[in-house]
This record gives sequence, structure tokens and C-alpha cells, in this order.
Amino acid sequence: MEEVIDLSKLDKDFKYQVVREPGGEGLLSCFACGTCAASCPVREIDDRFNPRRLIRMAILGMKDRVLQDEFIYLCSGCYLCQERCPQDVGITELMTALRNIAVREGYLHPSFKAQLEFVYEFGRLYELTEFENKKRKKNGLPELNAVIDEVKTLLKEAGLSKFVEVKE
Amino acid sequence: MKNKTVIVVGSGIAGLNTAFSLVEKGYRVKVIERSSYIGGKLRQLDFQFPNDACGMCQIYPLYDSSFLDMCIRRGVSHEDIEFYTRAEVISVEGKEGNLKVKIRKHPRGVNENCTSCGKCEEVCPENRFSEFNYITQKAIYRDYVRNFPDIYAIDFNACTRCGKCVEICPENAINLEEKEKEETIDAAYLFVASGIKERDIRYLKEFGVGIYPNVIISTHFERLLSGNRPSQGELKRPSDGKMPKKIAFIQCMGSRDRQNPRCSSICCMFTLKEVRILKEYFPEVEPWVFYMDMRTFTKGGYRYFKETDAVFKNARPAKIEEDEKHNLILYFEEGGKFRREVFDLVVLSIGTEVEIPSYVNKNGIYLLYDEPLEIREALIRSYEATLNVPVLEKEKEAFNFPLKDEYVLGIVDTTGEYKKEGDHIIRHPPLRNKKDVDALLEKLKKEGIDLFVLIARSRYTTEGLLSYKVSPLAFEIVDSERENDLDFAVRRSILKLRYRTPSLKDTQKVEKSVLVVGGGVAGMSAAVELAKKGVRVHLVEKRSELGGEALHVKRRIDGTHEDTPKMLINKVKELGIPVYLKSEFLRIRGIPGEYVADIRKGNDVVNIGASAVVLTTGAKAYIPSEYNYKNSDKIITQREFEEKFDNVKSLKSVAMLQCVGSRNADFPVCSVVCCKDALKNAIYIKEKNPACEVYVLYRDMMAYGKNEEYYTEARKKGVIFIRYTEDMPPSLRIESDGVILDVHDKTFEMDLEIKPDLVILSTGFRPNKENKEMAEKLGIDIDEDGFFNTLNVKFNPIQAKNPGVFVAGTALAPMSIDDAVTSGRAAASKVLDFLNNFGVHKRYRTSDVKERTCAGCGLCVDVCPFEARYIDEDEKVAKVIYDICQGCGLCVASCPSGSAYLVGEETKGIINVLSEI
Repeated sequence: MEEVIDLSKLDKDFKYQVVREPGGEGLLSCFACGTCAASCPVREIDDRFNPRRLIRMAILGMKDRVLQDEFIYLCSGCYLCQERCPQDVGITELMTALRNIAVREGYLHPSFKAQLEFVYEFGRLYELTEFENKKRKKNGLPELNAVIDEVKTLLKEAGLSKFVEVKE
Repeated sequence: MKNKTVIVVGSGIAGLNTAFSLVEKGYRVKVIERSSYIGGKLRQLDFQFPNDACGMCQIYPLYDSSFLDMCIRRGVSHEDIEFYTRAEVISVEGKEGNLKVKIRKHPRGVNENCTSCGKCEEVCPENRFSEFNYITQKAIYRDYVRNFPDIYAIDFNACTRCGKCVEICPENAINLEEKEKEETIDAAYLFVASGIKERDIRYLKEFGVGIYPNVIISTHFERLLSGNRPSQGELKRPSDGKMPKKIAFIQCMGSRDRQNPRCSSICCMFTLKEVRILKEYFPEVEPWVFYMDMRTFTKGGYRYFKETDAVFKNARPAKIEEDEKHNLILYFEEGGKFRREVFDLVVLSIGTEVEIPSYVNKNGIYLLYDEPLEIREALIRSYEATLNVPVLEKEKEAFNFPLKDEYVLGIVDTTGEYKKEGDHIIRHPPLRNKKDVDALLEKLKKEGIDLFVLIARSRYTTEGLLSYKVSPLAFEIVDSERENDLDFAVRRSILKLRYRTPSLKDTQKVEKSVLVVGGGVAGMSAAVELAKKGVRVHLVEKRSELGGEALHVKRRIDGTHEDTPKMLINKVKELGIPVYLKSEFLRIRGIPGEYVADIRKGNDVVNIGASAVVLTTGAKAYIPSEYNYKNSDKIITQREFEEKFDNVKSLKSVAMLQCVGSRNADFPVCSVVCCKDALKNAIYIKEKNPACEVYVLYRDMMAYGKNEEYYTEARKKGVIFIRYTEDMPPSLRIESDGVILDVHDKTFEMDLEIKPDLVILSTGFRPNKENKEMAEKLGIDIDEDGFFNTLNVKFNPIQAKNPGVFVAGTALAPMSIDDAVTSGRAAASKVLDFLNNFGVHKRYRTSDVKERTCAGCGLCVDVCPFEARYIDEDEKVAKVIYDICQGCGLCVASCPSGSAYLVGEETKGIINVLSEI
């Protein structure tokens, strides 16, 4: 990285926020040995995805960067790093914790956001059109509602609607 | 009568050293060893830091000639030390001074009639796996060619009791029905030096431990490299016997992880040593070392690291995979890049731990240490531990060389190989025990023989045994296994005996008083311990108060108050030790045992008589010229922070800078304490003011041993550790709004900018400038870095070259307060040994002077490396201090008049031997 990171501009409370989040307790145990980075199967495919680096960014307080990082969603949850980590950082669970924080703080990854919008709008992962109902009818199946309002209510109740940009 | 028996559990280097020190203090020692041979872990390791050679024999006491100066790997013979092999302590009853120690002796199957001829091994049909050599060997075995005791042993887990060995044994030495025995020993004290064992690291499955044949642990690798190596000089990897071309060493295997949170302290150094030995013998091999922190904190350790030629990778590999040829693929991350590298052999630097027996928590039982220690530290601890027992006065040695006008010479053959017949030729069975020696002496007496040549198969054991009863000058040994021409060897020895001239004088008496130079914690500890034992001590300190550099330390790493210096000052007062403040040590005159020291106090020079000198002049704190120190009140040292800074609550961020003035080209020494200081102060800040950010900019975190726990604690409290390298040190700017630190984080290849309220420099030690001059005054050495040296950095860490001078504390190398106290106490123990033995032993293999022809020119005094010679001003002739002379012979070579000679190696005899050739 060519840029100079000004530590005084970073969020020094972020590391404690992660430690307080269920799953993130082990963050500060990390001594940067690199076992996780060399274990990660995602990493093997693309150098940009590096758990050690992500942990370091979290410790330094690079909150925005961490919560926007694709890796927290790309983690396949294989637990290889978690099993091998000599310091019990609990990396796989740490990723879950980071995702949870990210979502709560409004850093939802665009792909998840798109999915959520679909579910919110239609009550399904895809849009139900006239074409599907025609087919159903042909096969003797009952017609379905294009929109399921109950799901919408549920998502509202769960507080997820705030991520959704849908015109009502 | 007082019980003089002491038990030492463990015969490794620390156990043996404890035994030696106890013998010096007047005790009889029984050493209990669990394995079949004595020597412990070090028997498996042939070469050691710092000179990559073996130096075990350097632990022998300097004054006690009853220790035969010979290879410890091959045998230790001393009449006051008895060894129990294959034995263990099962219970201890009673209390200090009167312990009842129950010993279980496991059957060995072979008794001491064994001559190690090896016939049994040839016929034995059963195999065992040798955990010593990591190879398969026969059920009746020995570890290598010369063990101690030099007899075979049977592994009864592998033996089927077929009886073939019993049939073939010519000495009737094997008993397959031998039973387990128990014995209760009455002992006054018990010392536990049970040593280290490798951790079980089978949980490290991703490294293929126990799965891939070419993944081995470091002890196994040491055996592959060893001088008496099972592979006989070649380096062969286990899978196919091929020579490995590329070897990976992985550090911290079984240390610094979830299962074993502590650092094992010694593994970095032994890996470096293995790499160096490897490069020396097999320069074509390419070693790679994977490490997290290179913890080379021992004296001379950093220099050793810098001079080691290997590829060093700051990474912990994640896994090892094996290809179809049993080559190993390592996966690791370096500078943000994912890497895989193929190796022929992988050596896992295995973590170790100390086995602590269940019976240690009892009065009169002393545990030497509870965490793995480097040899040097282990020896220091063993000196220290023996302070726990009172010193018993030794009796003067009794036996003498017969003084006669004419001597009768004889030949004793214990091998059956000497075929000549004649008068005074005696046939005798091999000498295996004291009984055999008595029988031989009886025979000699009957024949009227005074001096004799002994033909034997093992020089070492025979010489040791005989020396119990016979003056070493009264015989010459011919080792039949080493001689091509036995007749000539016997003739040669006869000639030497014919010209033997015994001329022993009475040894000197010593007054028991000691001068301690330097009133820091090490000096005060030494003085206090000596005074407690009734020795008169004089304590000289240059400054106006006692305590030294330790006075500036306010807190201990565990958060408690540091009151060691204060406690010691009170003890010095309590014991009424004479203290000379604002006084300067000028010089010593005289000889060891009888020094006179000149001390300047104000304008006066005071003379103090002392038998020995303890040098504890310490080191001084480094005042940095780097990083704008002095130009800003925002840049201070760790010490200043600890002493003066009381405004922690106001701080928002702090940066600590490690290795300032240490571990660089100017001063390639690790100051050891600064990493611990940084951890201590970082934790302190976080406790007082959790909101304050603490950055520690380090190169290698020296959190060895238990300190690793504080390193972990600091991280968990939110201290941020940033690793930089020597070639890219942090840079510091002072701008209008404060201090700015730029640092390149090497691990992540990130450029960081820190704007701390306070920069704390971890500055460490520097040796005193006066050390060189002081060393010359005292006739001792200094090392390349300007600290004092002892006889051997590793194997004799307290005794200086001048036999009456002992060095302790930071005068030797940077060390913590606790270590300085320990080394001061160890020095006290060594001084007690010196005082208790000086003048007690009759030394035989020394040089002497024919005073009739000596002109008193003093050449011999100049060349003597031990300062064992001086010119008697009244008689104008050279004199020898027999207690100090080591019989090197330099004086003989230098004497222009032929007056200097070596007793036992008389010139006439040697010339006659030469003319025979």
C-alpha cells in the first residue's frame, strides 16, 4: 500500500466494539503470525482477501474499511484459520461478528442489499410475474400473490427495512 | 553426626553442576538419574553456542583436583559422587536435614562386569526404537560408543528374554531376571534438577507431526548432525536416506500457542546453532528459518544471530503438505503475498517444559527452576540453589606420592594383550569397581611395586577409579584400544615413570574475606549471602548510595512495587557489612587467596585484605542521541517515564520505540530489559487510562518465558504492536502541533503515521567505559561488546579468568533485576566454594620450579594464562600457586634455563621417550 495511514484519524474504540460483539472476543489476542492468511482458501485464489490484514485493520481502527471489506462476506466459514490460529482469535466467528456490526451500522454489502430489497418488495428472492402464474395455472396449481405483505411486516419488525430503498 | 548426604535428582548439566557445587561445599552426593546413562539432554546435543563446540567439561570446578578433568560425556569420577541410573525418587518423608528418600531402581539387566564388547548386541534378535538416536536398535543397547556408565542396558519392553545375550556374554554380566529394587536413603537435602522434556506436539496435525517422515523435531535433527551421529557423518533424511538440499526450520512449535501459552526461551538459540553447524559441515545446504520473534536475549546472542547465514522469514507457516517423493510444501504469507515453497526436510523447533515432581513442596527440597532455561542460566541457578545448605569444612586430602630414593617399577596388564613375561609384570582382571582397585593395590604391595604402568581398555574409567586411592603420579595408563604398538607404549610409559620427580609443597591457607566491587543489586546480593554464611565482606561503591541502576525502577512487570534494592540495602545494614561509599577500586595486588586491594576514599587510599573479589560494577543506562531526545519534553526514556511521569490520565496516545541504541551496528547487543519495560509500562498506562492509545514499535518482542503472558495481556488490553525492521527504522519529526512518528509496518507493508502526546524511548544498557581498564587490573577478559567475560560464556558463567575473581550482574551482560540478584547469589555460592577448597586439594598435574637453576627472570609469569606464577621478591625465584596452575605447560616452553617443569611430564622422561622413536 502506498498511502500513509494517519492513526490519529482512525476509530480507536472500534477494536473494543468488536471485542464486545459476540464472536469478536479474540480479536486483540492476535500477534500477526500469518497462520490464518496462509490457511485461507479464499486467499489462495485472490491476494486481496487476507484475514490477517483485516484483523490488523480492525485493531488499528480502520472501521469504515473493515466494515466495507468484501472479505467479511466472502469468508467461506471453513474454520481452517480458526482451528490453526495459535492465539485463539476465533477468526471465523470474528467474521460473523464483523458482519453483524457492519449490518447494524448500515454497511450492508450491495449484493446483500439487492437480495434484501427483493425479499422486502416481493416476499421472495425473485419477482413473481404473470408468466409464472400462467404456467402454474396450466399445471393445475393455485395462483400466487405477486407480493407477500407479511414478509414486509416481518422485515420491518426485525429492523431490516432501514436498508431497503424501495418506493412504497 | 551431621548427615552429609545430599540427593540430586537428574544428571543433566544442571544436576551435575549442583552435585559439583555440593561436593565443593563439603557434601557427599547421590545423583538419581531416570535414564540408563548420565548426562541428560546435553548428551543428545553435541555442539553449543557460542563457539559451536562442546564445552561441558568447562563446568568442572577450578580448584578441586579430585575432579579428573575429563570428558563429562564419558564419565564423572569423584569419590563423593555416586550415580544411580534407571532410578527414580518415589517418595520423600521427614524434614530438612533428615529426609528419608525412597528410591526405586528399575532393572537394567546388565551389571558393571560389562566391558561393552558388543557381542550381546550382535546376537540380540529383538528391536527397540531409540528415543535417544531416533533409530531402531537392538533390545540390548547403548546410546553411543562411550557412555557413562560404560555398560550396556536392556529395554525390557522389547526384550523377550530369549537368553542369547546371556549365553554369549564372556563376562557373565547379564541377568534377565533382575528385579526392581527399592532403597531408602537418609539425606540432609534434596535438589531437583529434573530438566526439560519436549512437549507432545502431535496436536499440530497441519504440520504433519508423526505423519510425514521428513518432518522431524529439533532434537532428532541434532542427532542427525551429531559427531557420533547414527548416520556416521552423513546427513540423511528419514524417508529415503538422501541428503537434503533445502531445510526449513519452524520456530515456536508447541510454544506460544493455545495449548502452551509460554515461550520456551531456548529454541531460537538452538535453531541458530543447528543452522550454523549445518552450514559448517554442509555448506551447500540451504536453510530457511521461519520465526515470529527471534529471541536471542542471552549474552552474545544477538551477535550470534546476525552472524548466522540462513534465509530468515518472519512468518509462521500455516500447513505442510507432502508430495509423492516425500518432499514438503510449506504454505506461508510474506509481506502480504501468499507463498508456497518446497523443502526436502522440515525441522520443527520444539517447545520444552520442565517436569516438576510431586514431592517438591517440602522443607529441604529445592527445585532449581520451573521453566526451560538456557545452559548458562541453568548453571547460575544451580550455584544459587546450593546456597541453601550450610558449608561444611573440608578435610585436607590424605594420600601422598611415596617419597623414596629409588622406585620399583611394575607393569599391570588388565587386558590380556601384553604378552611379555618378566619380573614385576602382573596380570589382573579389568578394574570395574573400588573392590578391584583394592585387590590390585594388595598385589602391588606384595610385589613391592611403587610406580606402575597400567594397560587397560578404557582409559577414562580406569583413571578415575584408580585416583581414589593412588596418587595420579604413581601410574601411567596405556589405553590398549588406542595404541598400535603396545610394547612401545609400555616402554614409553616406563621411561616417563623412571624420571618422575615428586616435589609437592604445602598449599596456601586463605583468610576468609571477600571484596565486593559495586553496590548494585547483584553486589549487595552477593555481599548479603556471603555475610550470612559468616564470611567477612567489604562492599565498595563509587556512588554516594547503594542500589545502583535498580534504584530507578519503581514497578515490577506484575504491577507490584519494586522494592528489591531497598530490601537489600536494609539487609546490608542489618548484617553490619562494612560499606565504602564514594570509593574507587584502584587495583589488587598479591595472589588469589591473598589479595590486597587498594581503595580510594576521598583523598585516602585504604588497603583491604581479601581472598577473592566479586566484580559487580554493573552497566549504565544508555543516553540516546537518536530521535531528538533532549529537544522535546515529549520524548523521554522508559526510565524517565517510570520515575517522573505522573500525568498518565491526561494522555491520549503514547508511542514506545524499542531497540533505541541496542541491536544496531554500533552496539549489536540486546538489552533484554527494555521489551519487558515497555510491556510493563504499556500495561500500566492501559490500566490507569484505558482510553489512551499505546503503540509499541518493536523489532522482536523479547517476551521470553513467562513474559509472553504479559505480552498477551498487553495486546488484550488494546496495546498495538507494530513491527519495524532495522533497515527501515521509524522517523520522528517535531512540528508545531507536536511530534509525528512515521513507521513502516513490516508485517503488513503499511506506512503508518502516529501523532503521540508522548514518545517513550526504550534505551537499554551500555557497558561501563572503565571495563577495559578494570579487566586489565584484575587480569580478566572483556568481550567484543565491552562487558566482562568469564571462563566460558555458557559453561562457566561466573568464574573469571583470574581464579580469585567472580563476576555477576549487568557487568556481564544486560539483565533484569531478578536475574542480577540471582547471579549475585550465584557468585556468592562460587566464592564459598573457592574459599572452602583453596588449599585443601593436593594438585598433581601442575608445573613446578627447580629453584636452584631459576634466575627469576619472570618470563614464565608473563606467559602464564592463569596467573598461577609469581616472582618471590625475597628469594628471587619463580613460585607456583598450585591451586591455580592448570598444568598447561606454557611456562616450561618459555623457561630459558629449563627450571620450569611439569610434574608428571618431566623433560628427561620425554626426551628419552622421543629418542626411543
